[in-house]
Amino acid sequence: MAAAVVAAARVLKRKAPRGFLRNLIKRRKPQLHLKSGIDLWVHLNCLLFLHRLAEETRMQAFQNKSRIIKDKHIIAAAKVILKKSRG
Amino acid sequence: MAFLSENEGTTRTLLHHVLETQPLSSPVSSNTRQSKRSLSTSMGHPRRNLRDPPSRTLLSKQTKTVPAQPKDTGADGQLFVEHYDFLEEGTPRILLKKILQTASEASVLVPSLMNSQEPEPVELQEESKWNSLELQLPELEPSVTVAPGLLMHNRKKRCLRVSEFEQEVDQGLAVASDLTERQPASANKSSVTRSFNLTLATVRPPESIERPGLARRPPNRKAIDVEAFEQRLKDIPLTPLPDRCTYHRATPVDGDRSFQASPDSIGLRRSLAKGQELKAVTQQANQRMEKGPRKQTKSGTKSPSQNTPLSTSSLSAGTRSRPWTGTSSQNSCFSARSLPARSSISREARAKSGVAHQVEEEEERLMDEEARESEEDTEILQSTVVSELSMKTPEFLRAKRYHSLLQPTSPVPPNTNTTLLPSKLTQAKRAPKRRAPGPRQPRDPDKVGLNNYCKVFSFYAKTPMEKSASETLMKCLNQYFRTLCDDLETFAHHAGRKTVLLADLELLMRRQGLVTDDISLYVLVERYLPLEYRRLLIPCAASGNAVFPAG
Repeated sequence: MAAAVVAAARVLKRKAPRGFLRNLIKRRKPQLHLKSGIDLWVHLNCLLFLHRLAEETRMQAFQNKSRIIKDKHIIAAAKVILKKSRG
Repeated sequence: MAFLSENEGTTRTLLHHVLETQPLSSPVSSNTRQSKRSLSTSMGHPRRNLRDPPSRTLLSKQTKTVPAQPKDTGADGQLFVEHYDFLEEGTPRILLKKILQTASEASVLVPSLMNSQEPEPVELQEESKWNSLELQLPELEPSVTVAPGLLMHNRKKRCLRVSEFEQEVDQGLAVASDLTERQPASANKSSVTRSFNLTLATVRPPESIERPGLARRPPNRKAIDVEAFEQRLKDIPLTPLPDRCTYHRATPVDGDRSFQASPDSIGLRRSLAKGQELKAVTQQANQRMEKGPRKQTKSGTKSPSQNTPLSTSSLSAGTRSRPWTGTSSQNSCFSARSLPARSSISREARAKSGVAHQVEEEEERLMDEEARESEEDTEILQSTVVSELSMKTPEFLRAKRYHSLLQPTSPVPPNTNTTLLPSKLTQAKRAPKRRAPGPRQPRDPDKVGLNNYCKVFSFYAKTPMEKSASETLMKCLNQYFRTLCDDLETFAHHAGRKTVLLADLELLMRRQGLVTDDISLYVLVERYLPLEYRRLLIPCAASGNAVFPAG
């Protein structure tokens, strides 16, 4: 409880960080070309991933009977969700 | 004595107890007692019973005090016995009964202050009266040869007179000493008066015995007065003004001190240094103030007599002065320029005082001790200063400052202290400014975007999360993007392309389990993305036989 707690975001930013995503992929895979509009699909994929991760994390937090999400909850959830989101 | 402990109730109940306990033939018994014991005690005992009805609590104790009283008057006992027979009418029993009749039920006991000090003067009066000896006690003016029938009336008057006399006694020892001095002069005439003298001297201790709780106080007070006076006389030549000032007001508020010390400081300014700033003068005053109480403590400890109240007060004053001096020095630290001047002032002052009072080695010793003590004080000061600074300054400066303060100080510690502080304070002011435009660390390019996604996560989680958790979330996202890129590349590569198409992503999402037969890709878009993006992603037929986002 001593650590600072960030309240849950009330409003979701609707705009997709398209440039950021494109840059990200370009940096990692410079040889790869991206068809236009793919970044949006990536954004969608990322949103879905985060949704799943958030749900799982919340489950973990509830299992540990804590009202706030801690590191361990995210790690435990990521272990599951990253495995699921492998291509 | 058991009934005393049992009831602290009204006078009535007490009187009842007394009546029960005392034998019927109380006057006779008292007479027999007289013959056995010393006269003064027998006189004092019943009389006391008669005289102060409210003080019946003392009745039981008086038996204790009886042996303590002097037996010198035994020689003259016969006389008193005879006279005492007059008192038969006013035996304690009868008197008590009368009191019972008159006194109200709920009358409260009179405070014991009166009672404890009464016995002495009562004896004085009685002896003087019964022996018809004209003892010139100036305050008492004893009425000689009163008829026994009038005793009751006169008692009350006497009470008043006695109280007055006691007040006089309390006011100063001088009166009592005068009494004792005068009496021998008059006492040479008769042996009775001599014995009376002795009783005067010895009666005092029983007072304290009667009130065991307050037994220690009165003698101490008187002892203090004399020695304190002597010490004051000693101190006056040593330290002319301020010491006395501080001596008198051992426990005023700090603000008063500075105010009271100001005249002294002004005088110093006139005599010694004219070009100095006011601050320096005030510092001087502060230093003086430091000296004052400490000297008091020293004197208090020096004095062989255990004058506890004075010493404690002076000690408390010293302890109080310490924090105050600390603050003062802290205040004075801003005037760093005037410091050397100030030190010179102090030296001059010392020298001057030494010259003025025909410098004695003892005095110098005192000064040295003071200097030492001031050094110790400055250590305390430093600690206090550190603590106070810690409140104001950020942590990174604290450690530095503490080190600097801990460094060994020069022989005149306050100077070092004050010289150190201003620079530090300025640093404290500058430091944050320097920090703000400082060079930025190379940022992780992904951080902003990932932070954006962290917010998205917290929105989906709908629960507050720790700040530290966001970092792990970023690691997670990094890992996710790495695998995503790898997957896309492999899919594209598998398809024999270098460009990532929608097909690759759809495949990926199928494999992730996001897209199933029930839930198509476009459904997900409708669910999760805003309308403007849906328009971009979902192919829609437009006029002119055209599908906008060409698949």
